[in-house]
Amino acid sequence: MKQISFSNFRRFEDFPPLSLGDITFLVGGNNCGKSTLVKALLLTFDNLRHIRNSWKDPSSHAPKFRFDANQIHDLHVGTFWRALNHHASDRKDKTISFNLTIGEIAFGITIEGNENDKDDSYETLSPIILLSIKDAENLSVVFDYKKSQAILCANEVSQSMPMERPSVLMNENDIINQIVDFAHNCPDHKDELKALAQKVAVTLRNNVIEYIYTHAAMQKIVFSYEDKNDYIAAVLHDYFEEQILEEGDERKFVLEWMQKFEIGTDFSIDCKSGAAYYVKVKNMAGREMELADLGLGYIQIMILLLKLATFISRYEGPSTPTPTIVIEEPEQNLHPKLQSLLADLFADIYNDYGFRFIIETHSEYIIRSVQNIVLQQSYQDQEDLEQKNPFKVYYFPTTRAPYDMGFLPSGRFKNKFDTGFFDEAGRLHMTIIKHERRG
Amino acid sequence: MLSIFIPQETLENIVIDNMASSVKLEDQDAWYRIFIKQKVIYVSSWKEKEYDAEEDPLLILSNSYQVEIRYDETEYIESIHNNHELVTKYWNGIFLLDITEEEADDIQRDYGVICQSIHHLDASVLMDEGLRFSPVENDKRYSWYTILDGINAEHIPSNHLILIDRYLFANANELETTLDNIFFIMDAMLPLHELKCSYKVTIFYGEQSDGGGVGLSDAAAKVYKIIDGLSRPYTIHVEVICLSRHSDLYKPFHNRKILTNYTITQLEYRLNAFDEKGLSTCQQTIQPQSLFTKSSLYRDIDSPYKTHHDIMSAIYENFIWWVKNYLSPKSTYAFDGQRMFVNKRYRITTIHKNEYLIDLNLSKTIWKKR
Repeated sequence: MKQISFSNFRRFEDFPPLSLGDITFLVGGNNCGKSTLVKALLLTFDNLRHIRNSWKDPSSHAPKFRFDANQIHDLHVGTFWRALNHHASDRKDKTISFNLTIGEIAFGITIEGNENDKDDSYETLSPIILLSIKDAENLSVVFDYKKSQAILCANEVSQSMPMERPSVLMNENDIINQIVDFAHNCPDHKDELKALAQKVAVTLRNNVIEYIYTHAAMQKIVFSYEDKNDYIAAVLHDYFEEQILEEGDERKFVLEWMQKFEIGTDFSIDCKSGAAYYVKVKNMAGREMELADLGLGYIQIMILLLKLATFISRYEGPSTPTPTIVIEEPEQNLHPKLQSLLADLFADIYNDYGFRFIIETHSEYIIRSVQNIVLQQSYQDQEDLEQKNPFKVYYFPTTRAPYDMGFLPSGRFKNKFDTGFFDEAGRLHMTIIKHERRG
Repeated sequence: MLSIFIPQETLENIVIDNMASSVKLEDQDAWYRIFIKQKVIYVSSWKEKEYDAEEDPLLILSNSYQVEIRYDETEYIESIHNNHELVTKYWNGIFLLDITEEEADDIQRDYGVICQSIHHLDASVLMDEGLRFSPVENDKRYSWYTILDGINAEHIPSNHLILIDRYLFANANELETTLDNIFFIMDAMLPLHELKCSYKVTIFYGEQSDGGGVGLSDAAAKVYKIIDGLSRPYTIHVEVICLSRHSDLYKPFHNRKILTNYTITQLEYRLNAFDEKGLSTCQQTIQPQSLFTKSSLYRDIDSPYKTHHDIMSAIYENFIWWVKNYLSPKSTYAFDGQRMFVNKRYRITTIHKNEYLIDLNLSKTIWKKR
């Protein structure tokens, strides 16, 4: 995933294009829009892969956008009305637009509002009125479902024609089929359009998003998979289902990082009747203990490591997609020293497995640790850094659009954070110094 | 992008008095607010520090706001008292020195840089809410003199003026109007009093896609000629840079701007704002500003300083690229009316980060006649 922008979605009337790095950190105060970006990304990607018609309205020409998401849950957007920017709700324009560039393909989706879903209605689907797809060679197709026409733009010349009715239930293949259908009506550009359809198919197949949201670390002995609200049980279940071998790389990965975080030297997961899990950890002193007896921070890290090991197992091999892993506040419950280590963890997974990350964080320590990693790379100059540095840090101020902090080879940032983040500890400390020196 | 020079003890005191969380934002000193927006501050100090690193106010400042505190210009800072001309080394310098108020005023007046005594600091010279002018077509209410009056060199010191307009010489038929506008901008902005250094004017314009417009040699020669009419008691040097359409600066320099060391004037539409009768040629907004406004300094919103900084960084980045790749220059350059060429011997090693191509010290210029 390379770039995202959107308009009229939640707190942003107009969110300018934001280029994603291989490891992107989103930093900012509370209620400044970090989660909005994540939700926009997850919803757009999810709907592109699972675009569909409304089962309530099979006669409609337009495919539907699902605000409660098809595959990725826990987004808490739900309906169009909750998604719409509040300023937009007073205007005539009740559309939300998302633009997402994945690989070489730029997708655009515009969704029309449905005022009837304002009062907690169960209608979570909103009609898509425009769907655009553009490749790196600037060949683009736009499906205008309102006018029932498709527009092709190639070599700066556009032509439009009536659109065929889509199949009743759409999925990613139907986006592709629509392009292929269109190709049959455009003999002059048939081959280019078929090539575009192929590229879209490969792009949607080769990319996947995994979402690790904030959850409570619980000090329980038994984690029951039947408890659907138990996040830890779900993680243990997924790990168990992957059937990771005792000597497997994924297990070695967990063991290596358990030691780095000083949690322990070994672990085991027992499954009882396929429904409940017990986790035991051998601590650094060699004593075996229940996961529940570890501190909350250690439980948090263990669960993160097991989740990442599951992804390593799931996306291993050349024919599997490369995941982008979105993580919400991984620093929860962690001592500053362990927060710093998280930056190394993400960098290592990126280097070893090519996984990409988007991380929402409030942790000064993670960001300072990333600065150190950049410094250690000894980039020759700015050009060298721009080519090789996988990290990007975006700051979300309260009153302006987010901006790229920009790295220098020294590890320092080109831009500055607003007050209240990097300076908070210093200002508190300076109060003491001032008192000591001035009385 | 400012280069601030200050004694260590003065900076420490300002930091201790303003950075503590017990000090309300609105009570913080304006200089302190300016300091925390910098990337580098040059500090003069000979003394060993008497406290641990974790108690060092400047280290805390550096950690908190990513301001690099540099001590390597101590000798330079302390030499200024005996050799005022040294301030011209940094065109964007702000000199807060342990000298008398009278001496500081003399330096500021003689060399067009901000210089203050640490015994009488006042940041108001850099802070102005600025006025917004909105002439309509054929409007005779305004001129460059009325528009630039609040920020000219008599109010805010300067020794360098930069004009940016990609279409400045786009129309050969408008050359006289263009020269008139350049003349009036210079006359309105440049100091009337004597300077002990030269003043530099740099003009950026873009080549036209159809190959039309005024060529560099012609434009540079004509601009250089009008300097005589300014009748200033100091030397004025003029650089003209014609940006190729392939230059990295071509796109960002689409928007029209007038910059000096510490001011920025943004124009909506064209620098050729007035015709030969003094009537406005178009409807546009013109906003002259010093680098900071109170709102930008005390609330985290974009400031004129950021725009100024971005433009100067773009010039610097592009300039480095240009010199590195001098064999296929993407822009052409003229100095004092004559087209110049990059000399192979004067490559990147001679460029100081803060001097750009607009270094006042002519012996250091990278440009040499072929």
